[in-house]
Amino acid sequence: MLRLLLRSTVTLVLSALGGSLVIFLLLRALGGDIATSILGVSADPASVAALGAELGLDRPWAVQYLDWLAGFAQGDLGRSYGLRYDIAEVIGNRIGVTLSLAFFAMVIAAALALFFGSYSAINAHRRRGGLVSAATQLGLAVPTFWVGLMMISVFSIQLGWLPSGEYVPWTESLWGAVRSLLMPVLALSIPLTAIFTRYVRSAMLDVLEEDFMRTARAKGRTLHGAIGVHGIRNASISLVTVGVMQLGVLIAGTVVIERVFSLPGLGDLVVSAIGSREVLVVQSTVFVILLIILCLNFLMDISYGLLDPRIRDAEREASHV
Amino acid sequence: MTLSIRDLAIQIGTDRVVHVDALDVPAGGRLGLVGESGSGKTLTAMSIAGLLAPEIRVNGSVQLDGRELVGRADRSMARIRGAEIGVVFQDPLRALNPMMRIGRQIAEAVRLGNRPISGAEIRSRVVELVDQVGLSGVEGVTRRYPHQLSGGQRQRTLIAVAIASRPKLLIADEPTTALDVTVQEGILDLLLELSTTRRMALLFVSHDLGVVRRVSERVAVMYGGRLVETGTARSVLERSHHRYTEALIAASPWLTGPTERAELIGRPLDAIPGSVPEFGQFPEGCGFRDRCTHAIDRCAERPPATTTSDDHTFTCWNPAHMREADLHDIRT
Ligand SMILES: Nc1ncnc2c1ncn2[C@@H]1O[C@H](COP(=O)(O)OP(=O)(O)O)[C@@H](O)[C@H]1O
Ligand SMILES: [Mg+2]
Repeated sequence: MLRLLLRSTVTLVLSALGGSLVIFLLLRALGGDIATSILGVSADPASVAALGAELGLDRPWAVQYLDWLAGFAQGDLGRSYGLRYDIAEVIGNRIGVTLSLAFFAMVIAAALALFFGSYSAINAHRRRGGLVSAATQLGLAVPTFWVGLMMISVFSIQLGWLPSGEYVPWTESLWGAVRSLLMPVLALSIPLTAIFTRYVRSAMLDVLEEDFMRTARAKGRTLHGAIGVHGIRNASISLVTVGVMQLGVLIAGTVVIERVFSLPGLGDLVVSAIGSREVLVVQSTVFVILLIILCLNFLMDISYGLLDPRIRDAEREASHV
Repeated sequence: MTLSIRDLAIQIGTDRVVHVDALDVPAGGRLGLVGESGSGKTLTAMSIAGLLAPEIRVNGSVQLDGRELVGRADRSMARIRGAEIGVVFQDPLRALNPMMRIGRQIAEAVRLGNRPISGAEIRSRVVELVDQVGLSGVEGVTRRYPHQLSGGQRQRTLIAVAIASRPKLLIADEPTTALDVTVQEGILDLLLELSTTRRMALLFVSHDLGVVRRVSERVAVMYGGRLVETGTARSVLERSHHRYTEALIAASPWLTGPTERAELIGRPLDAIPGSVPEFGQFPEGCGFRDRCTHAIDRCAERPPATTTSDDHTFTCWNPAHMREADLHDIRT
């Protein structure tokens, strides 16, 4: 376990460093001259140079990069070049929205997938099982933003049940937060549920063939009881694996859904910062998003070991050699 | 009778793959079910406990202490098998959940098989079971996972699971086949001891006649999904009538006594010619006739069950170890 922990940590740190470098270089290479883009092309060279010096853009890239990283490590992300707001503060205010969206979408999708995937595997040779498979096709095909728009038009505009575009933070009102996040979370979880369901289904089909399921029934479990106790646990390993692979999809979906529901999250921040040419904001926010993904990856690596005792032992064996 | 089977028919798709006319195991009795791989032994054994896949159809009658088991809903069957039938499977590694500690897997069987039961009772019963199957010497065994045990220890765990409810009937399907020869003996001794001391009826399934002879009072020989010969272990193995049983014995190195073994030195075992066909491809009449060296024309008809005076039944038109007069009786 220690070895697994160590290895995952090293992976985490190295990927974070590599990612930060790529983000920095891409933005510098593609962004053109930052001072010019802030002041406009018609600005006189002297004031462009003065602004560049003020923002520290006249220093070599390597120095700028290290300076940025050092600030990051201390929680100081600097001020935005244009509007001069404290970037760390803005990210801090918005990160809760994105994390809530991603977290609840993931949890709901996993729970639904365990149910539907198992159901479809148990009924694999019946029409009901096929129905679930057809539904997952549909879930994969519909775009998230369209689902979001449909939800708004039905539940907010026509029925007036749920708000759209007015975010209530958790700290203000729990119920308000739930109401404002319900639709976006559901919209986000639809494609995830579809993907997860397919994996759970195939994992469950394998598990159903396992001898230990028969042992569980021999102990006195019904088929459904055996699935509930032994099947779900063993099939959920594969869910962890796909969960990791779908993190990118999830974050991309979050960006879209934050725009659709006008939620003040990180995705919304990146998109508006790109629009207003706030290079440093884009740079830091994208890096924060990357860090979130990497940390989740890290957690899932670890939980993989926690879930499967064989992996734990293989790790221990390996650390003895 | 603890177990009483009549006209048991198992159907997969359109093929009727097993048809057992009659098979009984008395309380505390030990029956060995033997036959080559692919004879239908596992299907038969699992159908008793209701452990076949839902799409496999089972008809006929299986009675446990006079209660009909065939056709029961899963819930009611689960309760009966949990409390009254124990099953030991062939591959103990695969039969245990790789992600669950041994102690929990045994405790699960204790809880399901002895309802209602308190947590404290479950724990003390687990300790007792671990001791009974000879695992108490293994350090921290209940905290281990299946992959942290040896094959023999895993099979002992599975036996603890099987006897957790103090069942009336213990079904052991090839319990030693996946194990090293050196640990087979220990497992057989344990099963024998448990069956005798707890008066558990034992249905012991194996392709290995030597192993079957060690544990069984009665033996039933299966081929092509049918019982071809049934009787006491002694009479079936020493005076076999069915030609399939005879061929099986000739192919088994352990069965012949010292004098006969002397004759066998330098002579290869008589392997049974050909191999067990796929289901649906056994010949009409006697299913063994295409591999039988004693087949006669009459074998194209299904042979009737003949019972001799010592409660020994077989279905063969041209049996071994029979007097001419009796042969005449069979064929007319
Ligand atoms: N679930 C199943 N579906 C289709 N065929 C099966 C199934 N289970 C067993 N069979 C077939 O039935 C035959 C007998 O199987 P089995 O009872 O396992 O024999 P044995 O235990 O004597 O080796 C084999 O030919 C096997 O292929
Ligand atoms: Mg078998």
